[in-house]
Amino acid sequence: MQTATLEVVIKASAYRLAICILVGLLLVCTNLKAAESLLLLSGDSPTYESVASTIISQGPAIHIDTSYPSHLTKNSEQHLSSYKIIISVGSKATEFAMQYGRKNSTILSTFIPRLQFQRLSEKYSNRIAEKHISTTAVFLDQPMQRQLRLASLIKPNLKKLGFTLGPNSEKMLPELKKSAEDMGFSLNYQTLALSDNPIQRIQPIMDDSDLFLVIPDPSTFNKTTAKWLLYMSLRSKVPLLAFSHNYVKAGAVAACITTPEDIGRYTAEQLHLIEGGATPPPTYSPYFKIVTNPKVARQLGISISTAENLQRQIQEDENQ
Amino acid sequence: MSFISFPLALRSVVTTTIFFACSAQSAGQSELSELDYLNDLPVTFSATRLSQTLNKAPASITIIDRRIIEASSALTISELLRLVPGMQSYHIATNNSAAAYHGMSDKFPPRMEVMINGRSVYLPLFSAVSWETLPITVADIERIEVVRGTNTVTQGSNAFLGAINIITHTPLSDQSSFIRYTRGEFNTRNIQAQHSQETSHGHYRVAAGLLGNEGYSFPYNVQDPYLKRYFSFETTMSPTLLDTFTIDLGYSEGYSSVGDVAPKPGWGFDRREFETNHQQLSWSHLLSGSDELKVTYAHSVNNLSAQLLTAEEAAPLIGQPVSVAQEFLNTNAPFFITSETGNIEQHDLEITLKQQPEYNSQIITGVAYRAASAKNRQLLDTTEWVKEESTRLFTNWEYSGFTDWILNTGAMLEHASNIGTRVSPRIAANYQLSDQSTIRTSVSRAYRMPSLLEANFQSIIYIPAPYTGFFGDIYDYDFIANDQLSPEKLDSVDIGLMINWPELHSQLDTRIFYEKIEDGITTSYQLQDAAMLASAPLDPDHLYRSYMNRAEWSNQGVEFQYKYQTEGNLKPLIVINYGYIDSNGFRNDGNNNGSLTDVINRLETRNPMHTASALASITLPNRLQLSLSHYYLSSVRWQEAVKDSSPPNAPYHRTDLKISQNFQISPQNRLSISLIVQNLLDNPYSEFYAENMFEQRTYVQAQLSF
Repeated sequence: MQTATLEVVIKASAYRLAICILVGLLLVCTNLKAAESLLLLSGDSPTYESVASTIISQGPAIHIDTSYPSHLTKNSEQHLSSYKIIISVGSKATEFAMQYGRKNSTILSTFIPRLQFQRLSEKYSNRIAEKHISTTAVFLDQPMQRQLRLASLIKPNLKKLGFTLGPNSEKMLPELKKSAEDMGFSLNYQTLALSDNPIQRIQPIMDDSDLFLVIPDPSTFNKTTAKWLLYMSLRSKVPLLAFSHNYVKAGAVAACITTPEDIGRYTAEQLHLIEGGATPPPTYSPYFKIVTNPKVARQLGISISTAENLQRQIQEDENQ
Repeated sequence: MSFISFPLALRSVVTTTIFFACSAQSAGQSELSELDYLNDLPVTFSATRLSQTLNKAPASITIIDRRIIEASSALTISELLRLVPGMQSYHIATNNSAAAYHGMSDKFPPRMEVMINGRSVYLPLFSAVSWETLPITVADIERIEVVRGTNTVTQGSNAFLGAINIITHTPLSDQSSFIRYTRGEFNTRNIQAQHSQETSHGHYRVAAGLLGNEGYSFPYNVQDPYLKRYFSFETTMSPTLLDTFTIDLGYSEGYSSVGDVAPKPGWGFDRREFETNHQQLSWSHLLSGSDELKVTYAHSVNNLSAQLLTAEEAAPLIGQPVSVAQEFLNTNAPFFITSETGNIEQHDLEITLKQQPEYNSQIITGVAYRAASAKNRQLLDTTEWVKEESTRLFTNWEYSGFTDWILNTGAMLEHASNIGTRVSPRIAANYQLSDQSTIRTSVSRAYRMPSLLEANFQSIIYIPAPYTGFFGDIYDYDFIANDQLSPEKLDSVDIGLMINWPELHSQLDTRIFYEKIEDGITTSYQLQDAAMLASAPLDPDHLYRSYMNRAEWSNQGVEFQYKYQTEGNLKPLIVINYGYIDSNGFRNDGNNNGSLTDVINRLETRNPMHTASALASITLPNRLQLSLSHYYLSSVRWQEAVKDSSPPNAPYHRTDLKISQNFQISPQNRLSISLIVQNLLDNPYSEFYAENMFEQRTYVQAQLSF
């Protein structure tokens, strides 16, 4: 398993990416319609391109066109009419594919949070059914069991798991409750609104929890929340479990992350299955990495294993 | 990331919007997006006010973090600045100091902005910073960010050659309370304390201290004692998830000793009392996505006073009887024993808007207004307040849309009352050679508006009314304000190489620079014209001085800073800094000493060619920390301190030692006892003035953290 950080990986593959994307775009621009598969990227940011590059390099040896929704806004249905398989990278591309995908096509949505995929599937459920479109996904986020397993390794005597939810992440609650019940944790949470005072809402949760799980919600998890969570974590000596490497650098004790390469690799494997005629169910990537901040762990007075050991333990559990 | 550290990264969260990518990529959606998981938390720096990692910043930046501060033997903030390549920090007297970047300075270095938590502490009445009156000490500092090279484009004309931002502790980075006591040389007795507390809306931090010593025992029984009492209060509150308020208050009072170190019979320092206070209120509001609106208002007051000159003291100065001297003092009242006094009040209002229109682009735009007022009859020739206003419009755009390139383009439009308007632009491009190395280039033009003092300095001794008919109106035209004074102009080119070796726990930043300063403001002598001669027949030299745009010089050189730091066995820390500078230029002293032709003074020796410093520290398993610092400065003639005809101050080497033993008394309580020996080898050397000797100094410090 690679140990490079996301930032390093992105830079290392920059040239390879550029070539791959360029080739793909050239194919689209020259109207070579021989390909039956389309790699649709939500944007031209390096993260999307990194996912795409890994899919192309590790996927089946088939001809794949590459494009962006913003390039296909006119006659969108016609543009997608020749593609039997659409690999949509990110939310915007997935929505575009569900909106304009052709009859009997397969959409492999990747690099997308589970809730977002579910929301889009519901939104376009009529069209998907009407056009007999098959959909599947490789989620970007982590399965709750994996996060809670990491939480239990960070804090072996974990009993109470604290977290806050926003209007969007509230939908995670059933999964959280089930996973916590399976592991014998009790949940301690609040739902935040923009008008809330973060201290008054979060501090009681923090004070009454053994570990705090940071759940991203674009409505309520902004830099203000991020700042106060770190402050309260240090103050109350309650470790934060985050969702990104950078938040760990900033002061969370650990995070479970999936890099664009991890996602691309697993998407390529799913693409092999689809090419073979199967439609695998939507799933999380089995490839992931653990990142830790030992300095923060020391400040909190907890002893944690190395990131590699934590990762190995979780992988062994999942393999069983 | 190079130089990244926990407090630094933690700080970045405060100033960084972390959902920019979401808003950029999925505009109109508030649902959870993939980019919410992969957003970046860049480190914030002072170069552009934008959140940037060091390799994206368009300037060389030195960060003195808490670990360096704790390992350092510095007891004052200006001493810490010895650890900045190309920076010269020097003692003017025992308790007065100055810091200049790229030398060419007297005891009032005018070309560098100094801020505390973003608030300027540059005193427009002296065109410099009064370090000893600041309401903070080394114990209050979380880190210091130094932009090496002009940062006028971001901070305005005070940051002509560089900018320093001192960031104090926040409970985000340091939640401990402590009490610290220092005892040592010159009968130093410093006591400082800090307390942090959480509230239902946020947190606050209070700090207070009492610092004092008797000063150095100079020849002729002269000493320069010092006392400072200070108090500061900072609080941060977030009433909603979108709004954060920060309030920063401070107060200091005490006295120091001002004057030149020139031992001779009758020589001595003048005691100057000071009282300062400041209030700063900042409101930041998160707009959609990553956009952020920030409004900051700051107000500061500095009152500096001294005893009035008595008729007995004035009489020998003008060679008149005491009764006449008294009439002179009445006519020129108030006349203090030192002109380094006065009242200074400053208001600053600043509004900035940070925007992230695309994932690869971020922009900051802002407007700032500053109103500065000062009162000092001896320097401004009026008993009224003299006011200066300046308005600034600024912007910086960072674009990273080209593979491996980061472009920064910015401009500062600055309008100063009675001076005019200038635009200071900067264009910079950083190229990422590899994952670990970046080349940085920038081209800047900067203007430094004359300070309130430079624009208004006028010193005239008036003759009392009973004698004007016979002796004229004026006794001495000393300094005359120049209403034709223009801003100084700087053109600079900067090329840097930044390398990070994470496996070796090392970072190296190298900078090659060229700076050309034109219209440099300098004091120049003028022959009095006929009208002046007629009004001042008793004038001692028939000359007067003015600030004029009569200096011009260039600096070229190289600087590097190397840092090795791990948290592993022995926690080693090594910092090595070096600056080489070659200066060429002149200042026109005008009719100095009555010369009928202009006297040109070369400036080559007014800048030390080599500035170097090093710090090495280890912590033994028994919590014994050993730190050694070494400083080197090559020979230099400081302006106003060493005449062109006198030999320059000799180069010096100085080695400091700090030994700290930490005791963990309980999980919450820690006691630290330190022994600090400055100039360990006891090689006395000259600081600024040839006769201002720095000998061995020993201190003991105890700190209880809880």
